[in-house]
Amino acid sequence: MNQAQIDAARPLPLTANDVRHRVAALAKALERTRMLRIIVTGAAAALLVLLAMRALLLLVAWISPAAVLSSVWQLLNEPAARFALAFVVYLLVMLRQMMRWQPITPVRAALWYEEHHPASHAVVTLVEDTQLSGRVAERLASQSRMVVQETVPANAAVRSARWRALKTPLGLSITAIALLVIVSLAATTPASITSARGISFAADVNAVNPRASRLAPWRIEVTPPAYSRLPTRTLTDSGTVEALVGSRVQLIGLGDTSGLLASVSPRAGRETSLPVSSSSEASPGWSTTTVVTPEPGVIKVRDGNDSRLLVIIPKADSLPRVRLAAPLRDSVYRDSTGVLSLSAEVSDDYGLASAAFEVILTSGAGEQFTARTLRLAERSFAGARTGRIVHELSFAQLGVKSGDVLHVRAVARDQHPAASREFGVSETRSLRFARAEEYDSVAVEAAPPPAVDSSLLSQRMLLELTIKLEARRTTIARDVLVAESRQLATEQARIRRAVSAIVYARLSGEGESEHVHYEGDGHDHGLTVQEGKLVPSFGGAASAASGTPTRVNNNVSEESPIIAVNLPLLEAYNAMWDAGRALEQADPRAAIPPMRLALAAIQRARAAERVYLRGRVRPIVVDLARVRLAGKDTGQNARRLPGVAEPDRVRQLDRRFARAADQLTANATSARDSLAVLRLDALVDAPAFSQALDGVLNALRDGRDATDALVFARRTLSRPAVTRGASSWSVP
Amino acid sequence: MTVLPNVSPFVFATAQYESGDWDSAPSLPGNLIDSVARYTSLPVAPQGVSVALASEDALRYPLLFLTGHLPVRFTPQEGRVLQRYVERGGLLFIDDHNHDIDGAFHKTALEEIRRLVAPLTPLRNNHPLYTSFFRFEDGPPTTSHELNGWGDNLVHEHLLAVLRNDRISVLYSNKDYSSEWNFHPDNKRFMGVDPTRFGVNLVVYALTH
Repeated sequence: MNQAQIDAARPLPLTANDVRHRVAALAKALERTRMLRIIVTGAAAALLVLLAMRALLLLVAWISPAAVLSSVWQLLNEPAARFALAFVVYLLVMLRQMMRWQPITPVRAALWYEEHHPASHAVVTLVEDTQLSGRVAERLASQSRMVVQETVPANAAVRSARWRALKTPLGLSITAIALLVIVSLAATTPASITSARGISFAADVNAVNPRASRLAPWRIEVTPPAYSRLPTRTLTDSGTVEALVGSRVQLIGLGDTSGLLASVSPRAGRETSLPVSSSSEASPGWSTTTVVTPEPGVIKVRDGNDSRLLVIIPKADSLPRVRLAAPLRDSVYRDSTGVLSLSAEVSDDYGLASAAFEVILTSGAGEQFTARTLRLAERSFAGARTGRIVHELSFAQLGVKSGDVLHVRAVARDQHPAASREFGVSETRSLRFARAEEYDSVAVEAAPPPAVDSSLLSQRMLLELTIKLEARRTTIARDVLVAESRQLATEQARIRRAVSAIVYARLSGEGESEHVHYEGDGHDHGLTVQEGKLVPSFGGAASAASGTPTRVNNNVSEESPIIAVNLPLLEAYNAMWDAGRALEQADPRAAIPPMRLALAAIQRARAAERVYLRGRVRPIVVDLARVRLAGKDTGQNARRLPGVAEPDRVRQLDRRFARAADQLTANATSARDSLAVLRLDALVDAPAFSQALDGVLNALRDGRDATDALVFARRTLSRPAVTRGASSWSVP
Repeated sequence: MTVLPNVSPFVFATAQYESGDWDSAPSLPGNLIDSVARYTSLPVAPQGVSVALASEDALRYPLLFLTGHLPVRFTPQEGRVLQRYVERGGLLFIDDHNHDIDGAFHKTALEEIRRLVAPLTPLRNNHPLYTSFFRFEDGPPTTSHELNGWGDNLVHEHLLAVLRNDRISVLYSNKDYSSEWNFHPDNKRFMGVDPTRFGVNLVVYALTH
């Protein structure tokens, strides 16, 4: 190649003005690259935000499916909302970049050019100083090494710079888009992600956990009745809810209302449809509401062929507990005067409204009774859980008369607003005011009788000792005989005085004994004292003094009932006199016969029939042989129908449970519903089993292995028989 | 009719409760026992018993008779036994000896039964009770106290009852059968119509339903 060809092939250097124009174009190209980077960076940030939100939703749905019903989740789940948020992020990123924006001047572009073209010189000088002379400018232009062929100076370097500036945000954007597409394809709803975890017990995973429909997950809001002052509870995706009777139970789910049907079925009642309305809390969402009744029930929501149950277990508001602290027991009063202290303690599970004493005063006798009911010491508690009421009840102010009966109890009412609400009541105390004419027969509970003095000798023991003394008579000295005999005489006198006290008490009501009256002293018991003995003062029984019981009994009919009852005791008393006298004379042989008479008389007195002044009607004993089928009328035999045996509820529950468990692998939705209904039906007959079924349902709901819960429920229902001791197959 | 061998005889039991005069009709048990023997071949004990309602012994008798003039307030133990008695198929017959529809006995007895068992409701007059032995086409027979205008001056058209599985568990009467049937059975020979025939229906119903 000759010089001319070489010169022709050499690129022509630009003029100074051209170089300045090229540098200006370079500056614009660099500014465009920078702007493009800002835009792509913003887009990448927005895409990453979209991806992050989607991932967060999936993660939340995976960890806690019911959380998707929260308002935050609802907001994030809205695509428009997500895009809006991403756009905001995009704008923020753009704004931040623009705030740091500095324009690329020709000088900066020239510096950038010289940095990327080390062979170039003087470009900065040429661009910076526009007042250079023509020759100097042309020389600097030639040193710039810019050539005509380059429309934009340093095209390759610009492209390289552009790539370096854009590759990171572009890469992030593409990755985010790819992940978004993948997530959208693989997990269109959080429900499918949840069900994809699988349940080892059930083959039909989606059927067990039908979260792809509008029926799951759902949220349950329980609003207790206002009077209970309990806060509203929110349950997440539960199949069972326990609530106070009167509570409002609202089911809230996702999706629109079209085609959704809801109904409530009490445990023993007819199914009633429930309205399904749009929910304002979930968009789009549905809700249905019912009120908890005293009867357990189940809400069934149907979505086409799919359905889901919510078992409602009512929790009863207990009646107030009332304890009557005073009076503590029933009683009989001698007088209808005085004051009775009343005291009661009351408590309630949700709050008391009021409490009072209720007094019924019944007056009358025979067939004429009247009653007055009073409420005393009524007090309001305004929702307090516990309280106490007291009152001093004046019998005089109440107008109590003898013969009246007072029934006292305390009553309390809680804050339940129903007019038909029962009262909580205490035990009732019956207080009776004795009539004057019946006081002798009124059973007044006095102090218990004193303990028997075991050191005292009975008549039987005394007789035994006397017989022994008589047997030793020939072997002991006279002094010993006299001393021991007189000691026995003292004991005999003690017993005689005890008997006389009983005789006098029965005759006159006086407790004293062995006192003497004289004829005409105006204080006659119907007895006279002859030689220390008691003798009835009328002729028919005078022979009793002789101690001959047969004669006394023969003449009983001539005497008053009182004397007749006491005659055996009179015989005993008089025989004891004879025995005591013989013992004082140291003649035990002579004492033995009257002592035996006394013992026999005491036995007869014990066996004598008691007379009660206010006696009851003698029970009628029907002479069946005489009256059997002697009636004038003829009836008709009633046909006796065999009764139907009560079904074995536990066995029935067991069979239903086994069927439902078997169904889990074939039709899990149906099995789940069967278990829910079984839980409802078992509430009364097998509450522990019902509670155990709750564990099964929870396991199925949460996607856990339900095998253990099923086994536990089965064991709760029918516990294995326990045999005591080793069986015949045991190794000795 | 023949007397069934080897069957425990029916024992008429009067319920004894703490709050009232449970023994206000002492001749009634013997009178009804006499009627059961007089009209039926049912094995029956010649004498009735009084059984405390607070005692588990009450569960041994298929029919319990409860009467009185005074307010009825069952103790907690009496309430528990009464509930068990009804659950186990016993029949409690309560008669208001006070023959007063708004009297203390009536109000308190109804309140106690409602609290412990269930509300008492009118028993239809064609209930099998009225045909279980004698036929009472018009329902419960009236009593002389009703017809003479005693107490509330009403002739009560229905008895009240609590039914369980279509069987009477608690039967309540305002008609004062306690007064109507409270006489010695030997006096039946002076009567044209024996007023205790309805008592026979009651016993037969309790034993056959």
